[in-house]
Amino acid sequence: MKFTDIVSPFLAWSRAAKKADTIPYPQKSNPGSDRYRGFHRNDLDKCIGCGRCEEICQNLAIGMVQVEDSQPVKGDSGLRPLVDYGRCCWCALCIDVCSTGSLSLSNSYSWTTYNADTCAYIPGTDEKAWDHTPKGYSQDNSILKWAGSPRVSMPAARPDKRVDSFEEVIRGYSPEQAAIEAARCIQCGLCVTACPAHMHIPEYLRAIADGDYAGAVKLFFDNNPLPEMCGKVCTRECESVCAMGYQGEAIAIRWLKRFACEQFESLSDVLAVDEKPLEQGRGKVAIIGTGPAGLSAAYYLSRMGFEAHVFDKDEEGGGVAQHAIPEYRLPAAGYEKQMDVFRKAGAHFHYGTEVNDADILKMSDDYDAVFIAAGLQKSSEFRIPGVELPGVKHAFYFLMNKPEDGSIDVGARVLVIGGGNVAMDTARTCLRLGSEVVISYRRRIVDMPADEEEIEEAMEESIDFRPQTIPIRIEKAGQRLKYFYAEAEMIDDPNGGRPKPVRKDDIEHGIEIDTVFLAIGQSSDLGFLPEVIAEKMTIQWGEIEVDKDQYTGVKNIYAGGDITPGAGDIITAIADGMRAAKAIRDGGNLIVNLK
Amino acid sequence: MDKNLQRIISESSFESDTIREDEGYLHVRVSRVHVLELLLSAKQRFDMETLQLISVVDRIEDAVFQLTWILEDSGGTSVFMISADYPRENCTVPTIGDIWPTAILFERELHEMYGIDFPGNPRQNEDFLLEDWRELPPMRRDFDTLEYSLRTYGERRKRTHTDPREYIADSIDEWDTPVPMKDFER
Repeated sequence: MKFTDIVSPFLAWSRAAKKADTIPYPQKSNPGSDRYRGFHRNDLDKCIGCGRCEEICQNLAIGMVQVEDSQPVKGDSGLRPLVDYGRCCWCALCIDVCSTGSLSLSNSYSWTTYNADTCAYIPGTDEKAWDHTPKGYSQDNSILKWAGSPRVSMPAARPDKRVDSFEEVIRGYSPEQAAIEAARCIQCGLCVTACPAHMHIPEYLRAIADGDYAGAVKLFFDNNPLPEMCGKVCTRECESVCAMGYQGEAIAIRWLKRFACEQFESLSDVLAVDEKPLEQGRGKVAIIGTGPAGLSAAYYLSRMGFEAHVFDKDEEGGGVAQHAIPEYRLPAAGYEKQMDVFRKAGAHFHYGTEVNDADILKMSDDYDAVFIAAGLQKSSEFRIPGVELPGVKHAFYFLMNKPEDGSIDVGARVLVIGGGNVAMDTARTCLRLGSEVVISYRRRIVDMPADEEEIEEAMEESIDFRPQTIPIRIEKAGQRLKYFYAEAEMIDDPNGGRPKPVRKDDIEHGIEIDTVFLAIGQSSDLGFLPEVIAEKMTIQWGEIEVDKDQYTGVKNIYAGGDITPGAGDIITAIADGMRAAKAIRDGGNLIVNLK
Repeated sequence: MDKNLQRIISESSFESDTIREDEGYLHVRVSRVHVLELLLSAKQRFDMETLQLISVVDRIEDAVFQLTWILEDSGGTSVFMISADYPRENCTVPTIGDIWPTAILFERELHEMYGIDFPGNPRQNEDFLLEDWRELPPMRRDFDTLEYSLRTYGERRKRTHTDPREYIADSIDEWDTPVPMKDFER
């Protein structure tokens, strides 16, 4: 035995009071720095499943997957990103491009697992310890913030110049502008979930970006036979859910549709619709009304080989959409180009033919199906003292009479009561006729049902908005009229409805005007429905209830457009017409003869 | 701007482009033949004592590596940055390890990540982060990370993927249109 063997154990004890040189056990955590790029987190309330993170990932670390049995809903694909940490290189590009900013990286970097294949998870769905840690890398603390390009602005006439004429306000994109704008689309398809007609938006945007305008137009007609009209005045639900719109601006889907249509003198040439319909002799369908719903049904039925007969009491047809929208938004010149498609598709038009209850009964005998798309034809009544005075008019009838030619004298000062599109259209039309215009609306401007853009443009054109004003009465004042109103304050509805305007004080304000336009809504006129049919339908608030196939519950009779409950816009009516055509094609409810 | 910083370039015998200047901050671009001279004078005459970092941008489109030396003065109040372009092909940059010993480590990293040769650096061939790397240096932009990872690690785990666009179209039966434009190839 050596001497050191005896001494060593005692020498070791001499280190007992010193700091250990070895790694401490149990191991102490060593947190990542504040902006460390660690494991992913996903705020599921914000994620819309657009797949932009997957698209950018250089290493295929991210795959969009179904979460349980989620389905696409409006504005959300229902898919969520799954991250594979065998591939992820922590570059954080997925964070930089995230459309909504829902995806972020925590500063946690340590995770022990016995099976390498389990080193992947769906952030947000699969619970992890770092889900709620405040630190890490996100768009909030990155230098880039968010990677996206701005919208190409639409050239428009200047507000002070455009009020002098009825010339169209919007000028349209150039091919270069359209290509740049269309190329901003990330092809996620969320827009399709919002479009009532489910138009193939990503595909036609790509066609426009590639310069294939004819290809785009053909794609329009798959689900929408009135693309030029929609390209000008659509309510564009699609843009409201666009992934690019969360942190930047939505793709100008409507303007691009308009652009592609504008590239052709004739759309029927592009579609080659004058060739014979796909299949002949499938049956006869009567369609009441030549608005968007009626035209849409007529187009698809004709193209499918049905004999479509469209009836309209007007000499021209076109419905409210074509006639009530003023020239500066939807020029009448485009109407012929559009109707050319329907005529060449083989639809039969019967203008100046008012349909009454006896006709409907006869039609249900003579035709294999009837599609009612008569729309809303009556302007709603408004009861305050003085509405019976001459000089008090209904805005809806005024617009339908095409006042652009100046044949109707509205006087020097005009008052419009209401806050919808009809109110805006009337106000802006009167402005162009040279009048000073005041708009009186009971609620706030944000509560107005009119398109935001229309309100904005009306304000630019210096229309005098008087929100939160309650109409009291209209009196005669010499050659003119005097409108009395009270100011209102908004009272919250305890039941959670929208705030109600309540008169604030006893003070009456009066303004002198020449003409008052009432624009408080339209309603249907179902007088043409025979009683035997009407009593079998479910009719509420003057609207005919239908199922998902636009079927009224009465054999062979379908309905769509504004006469049925719904959003009441053009694209919804077009979708109704297409759905009815599909249902008639599939023949589920086709039993000839009503009696 | 800092007078001291301004003097570094005004008192030099060659031209330089100012990229950015700010309070206590100057970033210049010079021809690569003047880099050593400028670095030396900055340290010896103008108190730029610390080499913070050497950074590289792979400007593959211009076929150059852009190197940037970041210097700081002894008080830590001003920063001086020198950028210069070097041809990407067989890129050779003189070492500054004898001016700032810390550069030996920085250059070793750049040698490994970009394949830049620093003749005179005694340790540049030692592994920095990667062990026994035989591929193209991985930070070069012509290095294909996806190809490398598939070749090296394979499909370790079957990747699942659903395209949002197709998923939406299928769920709402979008392509069941009454009259599809069949002649349009999509």
